[in-house]
Amino acid sequence: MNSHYGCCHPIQCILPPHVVEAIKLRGDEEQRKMAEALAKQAEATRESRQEATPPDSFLAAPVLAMGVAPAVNREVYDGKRRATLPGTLVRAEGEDPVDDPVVNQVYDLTGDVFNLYFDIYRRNSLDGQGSTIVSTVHHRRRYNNAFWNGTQMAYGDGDGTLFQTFVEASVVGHELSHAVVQYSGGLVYRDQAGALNESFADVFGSLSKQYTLRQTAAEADWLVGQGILGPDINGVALRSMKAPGTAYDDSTLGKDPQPYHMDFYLNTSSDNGGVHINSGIPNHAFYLVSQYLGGYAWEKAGQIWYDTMQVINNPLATFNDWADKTVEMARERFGAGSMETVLTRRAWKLVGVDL
Amino acid sequence: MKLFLRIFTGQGITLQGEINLSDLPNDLARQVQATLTPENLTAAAAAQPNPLMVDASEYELVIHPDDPNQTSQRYELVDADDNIDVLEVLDDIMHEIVRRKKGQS
Repeated sequence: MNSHYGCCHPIQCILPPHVVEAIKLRGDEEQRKMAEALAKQAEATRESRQEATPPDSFLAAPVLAMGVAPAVNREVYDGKRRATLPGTLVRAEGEDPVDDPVVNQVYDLTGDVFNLYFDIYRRNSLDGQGSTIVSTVHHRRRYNNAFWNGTQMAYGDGDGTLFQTFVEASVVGHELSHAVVQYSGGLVYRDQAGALNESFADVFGSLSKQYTLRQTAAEADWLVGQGILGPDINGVALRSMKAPGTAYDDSTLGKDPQPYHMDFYLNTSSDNGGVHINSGIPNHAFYLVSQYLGGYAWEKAGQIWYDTMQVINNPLATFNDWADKTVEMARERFGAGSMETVLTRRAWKLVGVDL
Repeated sequence: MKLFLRIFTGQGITLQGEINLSDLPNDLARQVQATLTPENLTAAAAAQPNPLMVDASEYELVIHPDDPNQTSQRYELVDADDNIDVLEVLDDIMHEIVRRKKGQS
Protein backbone atom coordinates (compact mmCIF):
# COMPACT_ATOMS: atom_id res chain seq x y z
CA MET A 1 0.00 0.00 0.00
CA ASN A 2 2.87 2.30 0.74
CA SER A 3 5.18 0.88 -1.85
CA HIS A 4 5.81 4.21 -3.49
CA TYR A 5 7.22 5.52 -0.21
CA GLY A 6 9.04 2.38 0.82
CA CYS A 7 12.31 3.19 -0.90
CA CYS A 8 12.91 6.44 0.91
CA HIS A 9 11.28 5.77 4.23
CA PRO A 10 14.39 4.85 6.24
CA ILE A 11 15.84 8.27 5.52
CA GLN A 12 12.63 9.97 6.58
CA CYS A 13 12.84 8.19 9.94
CA ILE A 14 16.03 10.12 10.63
CA LEU A 15 16.05 13.80 11.38
CA PRO A 16 18.02 15.29 8.49
CA PRO A 17 21.04 17.35 9.51
CA HIS A 18 19.77 20.42 7.64
CA VAL A 19 16.61 20.32 9.71
CA VAL A 20 18.60 20.18 12.94
CA GLU A 21 20.59 23.14 11.72
CA ALA A 22 17.39 25.00 10.88
CA ILE A 23 16.03 24.38 14.36
CA LYS A 24 19.29 25.55 15.89
CA LEU A 25 18.95 28.79 13.97
CA ARG A 26 15.21 29.37 14.27
CA GLY A 27 14.07 27.36 17.25
CA ASP A 28 13.91 28.36 20.87
CA GLU A 29 15.82 26.54 23.61
CA GLU A 30 13.27 23.76 24.07
CA GLN A 31 13.03 23.17 20.34
CA ARG A 32 16.79 22.92 20.14
CA LYS A 33 16.83 20.37 22.95
CA MET A 34 14.15 18.34 21.21
CA ALA A 35 16.00 18.48 17.91
CA GLU A 36 19.26 17.42 19.52
CA ALA A 37 17.53 14.52 21.27
CA LEU A 38 15.88 13.42 18.04
CA ALA A 39 19.20 13.67 16.23
CA LYS A 40 20.89 11.57 18.92
CA GLN A 41 18.18 8.98 18.65
CA ALA A 42 18.48 9.00 14.87
CA GLU A 43 22.19 8.39 15.19
CA ALA A 44 21.56 5.49 17.57
CA THR A 45 18.98 4.07 15.15
CA ARG A 46 21.42 4.45 12.28
CA GLU A 47 24.12 2.64 14.25
CA SER A 48 21.80 -0.17 15.29
CA ARG A 49 20.70 -0.62 11.70
CA GLN A 50 24.30 -0.82 10.57
CA GLU A 51 25.03 -3.40 13.27
CA ALA A 52 21.97 -5.43 12.33
CA THR A 53 22.50 -5.23 8.59
CA PRO A 54 24.90 -7.65 6.94
CA PRO A 55 27.52 -6.04 4.70
CA ASP A 56 26.63 -5.81 1.02
CA SER A 57 22.91 -5.69 1.71
CA PHE A 58 20.63 -2.69 1.64
CA LEU A 59 18.95 -1.30 4.73
CA ALA A 60 15.64 -2.91 5.57
CA ALA A 61 12.71 -0.65 4.84
CA PRO A 62 10.46 -0.06 7.83
CA VAL A 63 7.39 -0.41 5.65
CA LEU A 64 6.96 -4.11 5.05
CA ALA A 65 5.89 -5.75 1.85
CA MET A 66 2.53 -7.49 1.74
CA GLY A 67 2.73 -11.06 2.94
CA VAL A 68 5.40 -10.53 5.57
CA ALA A 69 4.21 -11.95 8.88
CA PRO A 70 3.75 -9.41 11.67
CA ALA A 71 5.75 -9.93 14.80
CA VAL A 72 4.24 -7.99 17.66
CA ASN A 73 6.46 -8.13 20.70
CA ARG A 74 4.98 -6.76 23.90
CA GLU A 75 6.35 -6.44 27.40
CA VAL A 76 4.18 -5.21 30.25
CA TYR A 77 5.78 -4.21 33.54
CA ASP A 78 4.29 -3.51 36.95
CA GLY A 79 5.55 -0.22 38.33
CA LYS A 80 4.12 -1.13 41.76
CA ARG A 81 3.12 2.50 42.27
CA ARG A 82 6.72 3.63 42.28
CA ALA A 83 8.44 5.98 39.86
CA THR A 84 11.19 3.68 38.65
CA LEU A 85 10.83 2.55 35.05
CA PRO A 86 10.21 0.04 33.67
CA GLY A 87 9.54 -1.90 36.92
CA THR A 88 8.97 -5.65 37.15
CA LEU A 89 8.19 -7.63 34.00
CA VAL A 90 4.83 -9.34 34.52
CA ARG A 91 3.75 -10.39 31.04
CA ALA A 92 5.87 -10.89 27.95
CA GLU A 93 4.78 -11.70 24.42
CA GLY A 94 2.84 -14.94 24.09
CA GLU A 95 2.47 -15.48 27.83
CA ASP A 96 -0.87 -16.30 29.41
CA PRO A 97 -2.98 -13.59 31.04
CA VAL A 98 -2.08 -12.74 34.62
CA ASP A 99 -4.29 -12.01 37.62
CA ASP A 100 -3.97 -8.25 37.23
CA PRO A 101 -6.63 -7.11 34.72
CA VAL A 102 -4.83 -3.82 34.05
CA VAL A 103 -1.78 -5.71 32.80
CA ASN A 104 -3.94 -7.79 30.48
CA GLN A 105 -5.83 -4.74 29.20
CA VAL A 106 -2.62 -2.95 28.28
CA TYR A 107 -1.29 -6.11 26.64
CA ASP A 108 -4.43 -6.50 24.54
CA LEU A 109 -4.86 -2.83 23.66
CA THR A 110 -1.20 -2.58 22.64
CA GLY A 111 -1.80 -5.49 20.29
CA ASP A 112 -4.81 -3.67 18.83
CA VAL A 113 -2.70 -0.61 18.04
CA PHE A 114 0.03 -2.76 16.50
CA ASN A 115 -2.62 -4.41 14.31
CA LEU A 116 -3.91 -1.09 12.98
CA TYR A 117 -0.46 0.09 11.99
CA PHE A 118 0.57 -3.25 10.52
CA ASP A 119 -2.64 -4.34 8.81
CA ILE A 120 -3.49 -0.99 7.26
CA TYR A 121 -0.23 0.91 6.91
CA ARG A 122 2.24 -2.03 6.78
CA ARG A 123 4.20 -0.55 9.64
CA ASN A 124 6.05 -3.11 11.74
CA SER A 125 5.72 -1.75 15.27
CA LEU A 126 6.43 1.74 16.56
CA ASP A 127 9.76 2.25 14.83
CA GLY A 128 8.85 0.34 11.67
CA GLN A 129 11.59 -2.15 12.55
CA GLY A 130 9.67 -4.51 14.81
CA SER A 131 10.73 -2.96 18.10
CA THR A 132 9.47 -4.37 21.39
CA ILE A 133 6.61 -2.33 22.78
CA VAL A 134 7.29 -1.70 26.46
CA SER A 135 4.56 -0.53 28.82
CA THR A 136 4.49 0.05 32.56
CA VAL A 137 1.22 0.04 34.48
CA HIS A 138 0.64 1.25 38.05
CA HIS A 139 3.18 4.04 37.57
CA ARG A 140 3.55 6.24 40.70
CA ARG A 141 0.92 6.76 43.37
CA ARG A 142 -2.45 8.16 42.31
CA TYR A 143 -0.77 9.43 39.19
CA ASN A 144 -3.22 11.29 36.93
CA ASN A 145 -1.37 10.79 33.68
CA ALA A 146 0.01 8.50 31.01
CA PHE A 147 2.98 9.28 28.80
CA TRP A 148 5.50 8.17 26.20
CA ASN A 149 9.00 8.99 27.41
CA GLY A 150 10.92 8.38 24.21
CA THR A 151 11.48 4.73 25.03
CA GLN A 152 8.34 3.29 26.59
CA MET A 153 4.77 3.96 27.73
CA ALA A 154 3.79 4.50 31.37
CA TYR A 155 0.27 4.55 32.76
CA GLY A 156 -0.82 5.90 36.13
CA ASP A 157 -3.84 4.46 37.92
CA GLY A 158 -5.46 7.87 38.44
CA ASP A 159 -6.49 9.17 41.82
CA GLY A 160 -9.90 7.46 41.72
CA THR A 161 -11.66 10.81 42.05
CA LEU A 162 -10.79 12.75 38.91
CA PHE A 163 -9.57 9.80 36.88
CA GLN A 164 -10.45 6.13 37.21
CA THR A 165 -7.80 4.78 34.89
CA PHE A 166 -5.61 5.67 31.93
CA VAL A 167 -5.75 2.24 30.36
CA GLU A 168 -8.35 2.83 27.67
CA ALA A 169 -8.22 2.03 23.95
CA SER A 170 -7.83 5.55 22.57
CA VAL A 171 -5.39 6.60 25.32
CA VAL A 172 -3.16 3.59 24.67
CA GLY A 173 -3.38 4.30 20.94
CA HIS A 174 -2.58 7.94 21.62
CA GLU A 175 0.58 7.22 23.62
CA LEU A 176 1.85 4.63 21.15
CA SER A 177 1.20 7.01 18.27
CA HIS A 178 3.49 9.58 19.90
CA ALA A 179 6.18 6.96 19.38
CA VAL A 180 5.23 6.63 15.73
CA VAL A 181 5.60 10.40 15.37
CA GLN A 182 9.02 10.28 17.00
CA TYR A 183 10.24 7.49 14.73
CA SER A 184 8.82 9.18 11.64
CA GLY A 185 11.06 12.21 11.92
CA GLY A 186 9.30 13.88 14.83
CA LEU A 187 7.28 17.01 15.43
CA VAL A 188 8.77 19.39 17.97
CA TYR A 189 6.55 19.33 21.03
CA ARG A 190 5.72 23.01 21.11
CA ASP A 191 3.22 25.42 19.52
CA GLN A 192 1.62 24.30 16.23
CA ALA A 193 4.09 21.46 15.57
CA GLY A 194 3.38 20.19 19.08
CA ALA A 195 -0.37 20.48 18.52
CA LEU A 196 0.05 18.44 15.32
CA ASN A 197 2.01 15.86 17.32
CA GLU A 198 -0.88 15.72 19.81
CA SER A 199 -3.47 15.62 17.05
CA PHE A 200 -1.74 12.76 15.22
CA ALA A 201 -1.75 10.84 18.51
CA ASP A 202 -5.46 11.57 19.02
CA VAL A 203 -6.34 10.65 15.42
CA PHE A 204 -4.58 7.29 15.51
CA GLY A 205 -5.68 6.64 19.09
CA SER A 206 -9.26 7.01 17.93
CA LEU A 207 -8.61 5.01 14.75
CA SER A 208 -7.11 2.10 16.67
CA LYS A 209 -10.28 1.92 18.74
CA GLN A 210 -12.46 2.21 15.63
CA TYR A 211 -10.43 -0.47 13.82
CA THR A 212 -10.71 -2.89 16.73
CA LEU A 213 -14.47 -2.33 16.94
CA ARG A 214 -14.81 -2.21 13.12
CA GLN A 215 -16.76 1.05 13.42
CA THR A 216 -17.47 3.34 10.50
CA ALA A 217 -16.83 7.05 10.81
CA ALA A 218 -20.55 7.53 11.39
CA GLU A 219 -20.64 4.93 14.17
CA ALA A 220 -17.52 6.05 16.05
CA ASP A 221 -17.74 8.21 19.19
CA TRP A 222 -14.66 10.29 18.21
CA LEU A 223 -13.78 10.66 21.88
CA VAL A 224 -10.30 10.41 23.34
CA GLY A 225 -10.26 8.88 26.80
CA GLN A 226 -13.92 7.95 26.88
CA GLY A 227 -14.88 6.72 30.34
CA ILE A 228 -11.63 7.47 32.16
CA LEU A 229 -12.97 10.43 34.14
CA GLY A 230 -14.12 9.82 37.71
CA PRO A 231 -17.76 8.99 38.42
CA ASP A 232 -18.52 12.41 39.89
CA ILE A 233 -16.93 14.38 37.07
CA ASN A 234 -19.29 16.08 34.64
CA GLY A 235 -17.76 14.92 31.38
CA VAL A 236 -17.46 12.03 28.96
CA ALA A 237 -13.81 12.06 27.93
CA LEU A 238 -10.59 14.07 27.70
CA ARG A 239 -11.32 15.40 24.23
CA SER A 240 -13.91 15.24 21.49
CA MET A 241 -12.78 15.29 17.87
CA LYS A 242 -16.36 15.62 16.71
CA ALA A 243 -17.08 18.62 18.91
CA PRO A 244 -13.87 20.03 20.40
CA GLY A 245 -14.57 21.97 23.59
CA THR A 246 -17.44 19.77 24.78
CA ALA A 247 -15.76 16.77 26.39
CA TYR A 248 -16.23 18.01 29.95
CA ASP A 249 -17.52 20.96 31.94
CA ASP A 250 -16.88 20.39 35.61
CA SER A 251 -16.46 22.44 38.77
CA THR A 252 -13.07 20.87 39.45
CA LEU A 253 -11.70 20.31 35.94
CA GLY A 254 -13.14 23.45 34.42
CA LYS A 255 -14.42 23.47 30.87
CA ASP A 256 -12.83 21.65 27.94
CA PRO A 257 -10.74 24.45 26.32
CA GLN A 258 -10.27 22.98 22.85
CA PRO A 259 -11.10 25.17 19.83
CA TYR A 260 -12.48 23.74 16.60
CA HIS A 261 -11.54 26.71 14.38
CA MET A 262 -8.52 28.99 13.90
CA ASP A 263 -10.63 31.96 15.01
CA PHE A 264 -10.39 30.52 18.52
CA TYR A 265 -6.74 29.47 18.38
CA LEU A 266 -5.26 29.99 21.83
CA ASN A 267 -1.91 31.74 22.13
CA THR A 268 -0.51 30.59 25.44
CA SER A 269 2.84 29.77 26.99
CA SER A 270 1.50 26.95 29.15
CA ASP A 271 1.10 23.37 27.93
CA ASN A 272 4.09 23.86 25.60
CA GLY A 273 2.17 26.52 23.75
CA GLY A 274 -1.23 24.88 24.05
CA VAL A 275 -0.40 21.59 22.35
CA HIS A 276 -3.33 19.79 24.00
CA ILE A 277 -5.64 22.72 23.36
CA ASN A 278 -5.05 23.80 19.77
CA SER A 279 -4.89 20.17 18.64
CA GLY A 280 -8.68 20.48 18.56
CA ILE A 281 -8.37 22.27 15.21
CA PRO A 282 -6.54 19.55 13.22
CA ASN A 283 -8.53 16.93 15.16
CA HIS A 284 -11.74 18.43 13.87
CA ALA A 285 -10.37 18.67 10.33
CA PHE A 286 -9.65 14.95 10.41
CA TYR A 287 -13.12 14.24 11.76
CA LEU A 288 -14.68 16.27 8.94
CA VAL A 289 -12.66 14.51 6.23
CA SER A 290 -13.69 11.16 7.71
CA GLN A 291 -17.34 12.11 7.77
CA TYR A 292 -17.27 13.46 4.22
CA LEU A 293 -15.59 10.33 2.86
CA GLY A 294 -17.72 7.92 4.91
CA GLY A 295 -16.93 4.27 5.52
CA TYR A 296 -14.00 3.30 7.69
CA ALA A 297 -11.93 6.34 8.63
CA TRP A 298 -8.67 4.38 8.73
CA GLU A 299 -8.94 3.50 5.05
CA LYS A 300 -8.79 6.88 3.34
CA ALA A 301 -8.56 9.75 5.83
CA GLY A 302 -6.22 7.71 8.04
CA GLN A 303 -4.08 6.78 5.06
CA ILE A 304 -3.77 10.44 4.02
CA TRP A 305 -2.75 11.47 7.56
CA TYR A 306 -0.32 8.55 7.90
CA ASP A 307 1.28 9.32 4.53
CA THR A 308 1.61 12.95 5.59
CA MET A 309 3.48 11.98 8.75
CA GLN A 310 5.88 9.85 6.74
CA VAL A 311 6.81 12.50 4.19
CA ILE A 312 6.40 15.89 5.81
CA ASN A 313 10.00 15.90 7.05
CA ASN A 314 9.51 19.13 8.97
CA PRO A 315 9.70 18.94 12.79
CA LEU A 316 8.54 22.57 13.00
CA ALA A 317 5.51 22.11 10.74
CA THR A 318 2.65 24.57 11.13
CA PHE A 319 -1.02 23.76 10.62
CA ASN A 320 -0.70 25.20 7.11
CA ASP A 321 2.32 23.04 6.32
CA TRP A 322 0.50 19.94 7.51
CA ALA A 323 -2.73 20.82 5.72
CA ASP A 324 -0.84 21.47 2.47
CA LYS A 325 0.84 18.10 2.74
CA THR A 326 -2.43 16.24 3.45
CA VAL A 327 -3.90 17.68 0.24
CA GLU A 328 -0.75 16.72 -1.64
CA MET A 329 -0.92 13.18 -0.24
CA ALA A 330 -4.61 12.89 -1.13
CA ARG A 331 -3.78 14.03 -4.66
CA GLU A 332 -0.90 11.54 -5.01
CA ARG A 333 -2.90 8.60 -3.72
CA PHE A 334 -6.37 9.34 -5.07
CA GLY A 335 -5.89 11.83 -7.93
CA ALA A 336 -6.00 15.60 -8.37
CA GLY A 337 -9.73 15.90 -8.94
CA SER A 338 -10.73 13.12 -6.58
CA MET A 339 -13.33 13.59 -3.86
CA GLU A 340 -10.62 12.72 -1.33
CA THR A 341 -8.51 15.66 -2.46
CA VAL A 342 -11.37 18.10 -2.76
CA LEU A 343 -12.89 17.17 0.59
CA THR A 344 -9.57 17.23 2.43
CA ARG A 345 -9.05 20.79 1.22
CA ARG A 346 -12.62 21.67 2.19
CA ALA A 347 -12.22 20.30 5.72
CA TRP A 348 -9.17 22.48 6.33
CA LYS A 349 -11.03 25.50 5.04
CA LEU A 350 -13.90 24.82 7.41
CA VAL A 351 -11.59 24.86 10.43
CA GLY A 352 -10.02 28.10 9.25
CA VAL A 353 -6.76 26.77 7.80
CA ASP A 354 -6.63 28.36 4.38
CA LEU A 355 -4.51 26.69 1.73
CA MET B 1 1.37 29.09 55.30
CA LYS B 2 -0.88 28.77 52.28
CA LEU B 3 -0.10 26.66 49.25
CA PHE B 4 -1.38 27.46 45.78
CA LEU B 5 -0.94 24.54 43.41
CA ARG B 6 -1.62 24.13 39.72
CA ILE B 7 -0.99 20.83 37.95
CA PHE B 8 -1.23 20.41 34.24
CA THR B 9 -1.92 16.68 34.03
CA GLY B 10 -0.26 16.07 30.67
CA GLN B 11 -3.59 14.99 29.19
CA GLY B 12 -4.80 18.50 28.52
CA ILE B 13 -6.50 19.02 31.86
CA THR B 14 -5.40 21.60 34.42
CA LEU B 15 -6.12 21.20 38.12
CA GLN B 16 -5.67 24.05 40.55
CA GLY B 17 -6.52 25.08 44.06
CA GLU B 18 -5.09 26.31 47.34
CA ILE B 19 -4.97 24.99 50.85
CA ASN B 20 -3.60 26.04 54.22
CA LEU B 21 -0.85 23.90 55.63
CA SER B 22 -2.93 23.58 58.79
CA ASP B 23 -5.79 22.04 56.80
CA LEU B 24 -3.69 19.16 55.53
CA PRO B 25 -3.78 15.81 57.31
CA ASN B 26 -0.97 15.64 59.88
CA ASP B 27 1.12 13.09 58.00
CA LEU B 28 0.97 15.08 54.80
CA ALA B 29 1.67 18.37 56.59
CA ARG B 30 4.80 16.82 58.08
CA GLN B 31 5.83 15.57 54.62
CA VAL B 32 5.29 19.03 53.19
CA GLN B 33 7.50 20.63 55.81
CA ALA B 34 10.20 18.01 55.39
CA THR B 35 10.18 17.84 51.59
CA LEU B 36 9.08 21.20 50.24
CA THR B 37 12.03 23.15 51.56
CA PRO B 38 13.41 26.01 49.46
CA GLU B 39 16.54 23.96 48.74
CA ASN B 40 14.59 20.89 47.61
CA LEU B 41 12.16 22.92 45.55
CA THR B 42 14.91 24.89 43.83
CA ALA B 43 16.72 21.67 42.97
CA ALA B 44 13.49 20.02 41.80
CA ALA B 45 12.65 22.99 39.61
CA ALA B 46 16.09 22.78 38.03
CA ALA B 47 15.71 19.09 37.18
CA GLN B 48 16.15 18.52 33.46
CA PRO B 49 13.15 16.95 31.75
CA ASN B 50 13.58 14.24 29.15
CA PRO B 51 13.21 16.17 25.87
CA LEU B 52 11.64 13.16 24.11
CA MET B 53 8.94 12.77 26.75
CA VAL B 54 5.48 13.86 25.65
CA ASP B 55 2.37 14.30 27.77
CA ALA B 56 4.56 15.17 30.77
CA SER B 57 2.92 16.72 33.82
CA GLU B 58 3.75 20.31 34.74
CA TYR B 59 3.48 21.78 38.23
CA GLU B 60 3.30 25.30 39.58
CA LEU B 61 3.56 25.87 43.33
CA VAL B 62 3.26 29.19 45.11
CA ILE B 63 3.99 29.27 48.82
CA HIS B 64 2.45 32.21 50.67
CA PRO B 65 4.07 32.63 54.09
CA ASP B 66 2.02 33.59 57.14
CA ASP B 67 4.30 36.54 57.80
CA PRO B 68 3.13 39.39 55.54
CA ASN B 69 6.66 40.79 55.54
CA GLN B 70 7.95 37.72 53.77
CA THR B 71 7.52 37.35 50.03
CA SER B 72 5.74 34.49 48.32
CA GLN B 73 7.86 31.90 46.54
CA ARG B 74 6.89 30.46 43.19
CA TYR B 75 8.26 27.29 41.61
CA GLU B 76 7.64 25.64 38.25
CA LEU B 77 8.45 21.96 37.92
CA VAL B 78 8.07 19.30 35.25
CA ASP B 79 8.21 15.51 35.30
CA ALA B 80 11.84 14.44 35.53
CA ASP B 81 13.64 11.44 36.92
CA ASP B 82 15.29 13.23 39.81
CA ASN B 83 12.45 15.27 41.31
CA ILE B 84 9.85 12.56 41.87
CA ASP B 85 9.92 12.86 45.69
CA VAL B 86 8.82 16.46 45.46
CA LEU B 87 6.26 15.81 42.70
CA GLU B 88 4.63 13.03 44.67
CA VAL B 89 4.10 15.33 47.62
CA LEU B 90 2.53 17.86 45.26
CA ASP B 91 0.27 15.10 43.87
CA ASP B 92 -0.80 14.30 47.43
CA ILE B 93 -1.56 17.96 48.14
CA MET B 94 -3.68 18.18 44.99
CA HIS B 95 -5.48 15.00 45.98
CA GLU B 96 -6.35 16.65 49.31
CA ILE B 97 -7.47 19.87 47.59
CA VAL B 98 -9.73 17.90 45.24
CA ARG B 99 -11.05 15.73 48.06
CA ARG B 100 -12.03 18.80 50.04
CA LYS B 101 -13.55 20.49 46.99
CA LYS B 102 -15.61 17.45 46.14
CA GLY B 103 -16.59 17.06 49.81
CA GLN B 104 -17.85 20.62 49.93
CA SER B 105 -19.85 20.39 46.73
